[in-house]
Amino acid sequence: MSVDWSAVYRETYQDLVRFLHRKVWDADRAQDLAQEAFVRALDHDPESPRSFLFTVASNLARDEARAAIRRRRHLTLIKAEVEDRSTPDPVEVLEQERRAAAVRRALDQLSERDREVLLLWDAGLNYEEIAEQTGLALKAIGTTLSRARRRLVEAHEALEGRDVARG
Amino acid sequence: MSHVDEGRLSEYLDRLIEGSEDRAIGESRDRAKIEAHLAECAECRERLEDVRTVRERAAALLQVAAPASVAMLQFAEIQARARARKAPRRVFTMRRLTALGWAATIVMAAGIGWIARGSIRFGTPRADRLSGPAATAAAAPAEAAVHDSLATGVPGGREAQGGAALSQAAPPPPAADAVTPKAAPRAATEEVQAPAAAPVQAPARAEARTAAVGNLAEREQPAAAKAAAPEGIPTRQAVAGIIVIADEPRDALGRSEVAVDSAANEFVQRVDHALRENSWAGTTAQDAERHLGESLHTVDGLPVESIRIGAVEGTPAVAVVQILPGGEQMEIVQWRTADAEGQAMQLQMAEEAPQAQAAVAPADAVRRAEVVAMRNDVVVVMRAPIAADSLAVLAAKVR
Repeated sequence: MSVDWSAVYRETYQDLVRFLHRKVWDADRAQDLAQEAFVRALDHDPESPRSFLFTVASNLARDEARAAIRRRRHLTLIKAEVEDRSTPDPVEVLEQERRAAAVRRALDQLSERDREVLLLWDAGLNYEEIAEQTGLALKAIGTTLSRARRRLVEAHEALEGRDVARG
Repeated sequence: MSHVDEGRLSEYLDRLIEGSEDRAIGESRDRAKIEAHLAECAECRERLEDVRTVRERAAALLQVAAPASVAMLQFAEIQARARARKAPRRVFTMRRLTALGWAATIVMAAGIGWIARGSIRFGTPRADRLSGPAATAAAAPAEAAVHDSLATGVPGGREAQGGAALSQAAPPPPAADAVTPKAAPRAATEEVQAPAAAPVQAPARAEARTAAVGNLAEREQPAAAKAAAPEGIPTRQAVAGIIVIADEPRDALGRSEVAVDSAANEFVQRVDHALRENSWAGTTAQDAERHLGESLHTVDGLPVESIRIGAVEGTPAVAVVQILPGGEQMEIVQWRTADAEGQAMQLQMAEEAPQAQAAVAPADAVRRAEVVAMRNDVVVVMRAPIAADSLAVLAAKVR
C-alpha cells in the first residue's frame, strides 16, 4: 500500500502537535517531537500512518516525561512561517498562562488511561483509532472518554474554586 | 429498551457530531435504537444534554491548553531528514557489520558487567534479574576490554555509535512492547563466550561493589554476601546513579530507553539550574580546591580544559571540563553535601540504582549520559556525549 505522506503530514501534523503539547507542555518541544515522529514514520512506511504516528509520539512524550530534564534541543526546529510579530498584551499572556496551568493541573489528576483517551480524542482520533491506539476495547471508549471529560471538568472546577477561595 | 448508559450516550453524541461512521459497534449500539429510546425517555434526554455540556466544557478546557500557534516545516524538510537518517546504514558491508557486531557485543557486555556488578541490592543477586548468572560471567572480561579501550584512547562512545548503526540495520520490532532494554543484553549474553574462571570471579566482584554502593546498604547485606567479597580487589566508590539521556532515541517506535534514577536526577537538575542561573568564574586548581574545601575530583590522565567556581544551591561548587581521547568534553561538577542530606541521598540512590541501571539502555541507544557518583560527602555529577557505560567506567576513575 502506498501512503501519500505529504497528505498525511498536512492532515495530521497539527493534531499531533496538539496531542504532544498536553504531554510535554512546551510548544517548541511538541513540534520537535511531532517532526521526529514523521521522520520515523517516513523511515518505516507503516501501513497505518496515523496510528503509527500517535504511537511514536506517545512513546516520545513518555520518554520525555521520564527523563524530566530540561535538555538542549538537538533537533533543529526550522520555522517555516514568519512568526507573528505583534506584541501580545503581557496581562493577557499571564492570564492565558494561568488558565493553561490550571488545565494542566486538572489533567494531571486524571488516570493515565483516561488522560490518554481524552487527549487522543481531542487530537481528532475517532473511536476506532483510539481503541487501536490504547488497546482498549472499542466498546469501552465511550465510557472511558465520558468519564475522562467529566473528571477533567470537575477537577478543574475544584482547582479554580480553591484558587478563588484563596483569593 | 432499558436506559442508555453514559458511555453509549457519549459515543452516540461523538459520532453524531463528528459524523464518524457507526461501524463495528454491534446491534446494541445501533444509532436508530438509541434515538428511538431517546424519543420516549425524558431521563435519557436529560442525561444526553448533560453529556453534551460536559463534552463542550472539556473541549473548551483542552483548547485553553492548546499550543498558541503551530509552525509547520515544509514536508520536503521532513523527507530530507528521513533520508539523511537512512543514508549511513547503506555504507556498511557485511564484513564491517560483523566487526561492528563484535564491538557492540563487547560494549554491551561491558554495560551488563557494570550493571551486574553494581546493582545487587541488599544481597539479592542482581545478575539473576538481568539474564542469569551468565550475564555476570560474560561481563567481566568484556569490561576489561572497555578499560583497555579507554586506556588506549578509544572512547566507548565511538563504539557505541557503531553499535547504533548495527541495531538500526536489524529488522524493526514486530510489536510496540516487543523490545525492552533488557533484550539486547540478553542477546549479548548468548554471544559472548566467557572463560571458565569468570563465573567464580565475576559474582564476587559484584558483591565487592555492592558493599561500595552506600555504606548504609552494607548494613543490610547478608553475611554470606559480605564473605564472598575477596580481599585484594579494590573496592571502588559507588557510581550511585546513572542517568542515560538518549537525545535521539534509536528505537523505531520512539522508546529512548532512558534510565532515570530519581535521586541522581535531583542532583543533575540542581546542576542544570546552577549552571544556567549562577555565575561561574574561571580559576586555578588551587583556588578551586580552597573554594570547595576538598581536593578536586577529576579523571587522571585527561587534559583539563577549564576549572570554574560557582555554587549549587548556595553550596560552593566547582565545574571542571576535561577532554576525552575522542575530543569530547566531559563536565564534572562537584560540591560537598550536608552530612544528613548526603547520607539520605546515598541511601536513596543505593535503593534506586538497581532499577535505574536495569533500565540502562544498551550502549547503542545512548548519545549522551550523565552519571552521579558520591565520593564520601562530595557529589560528583559527570556528563559527556558518550555511552553511559563508558562514562560509568570513567566515573570509577575519578579521584
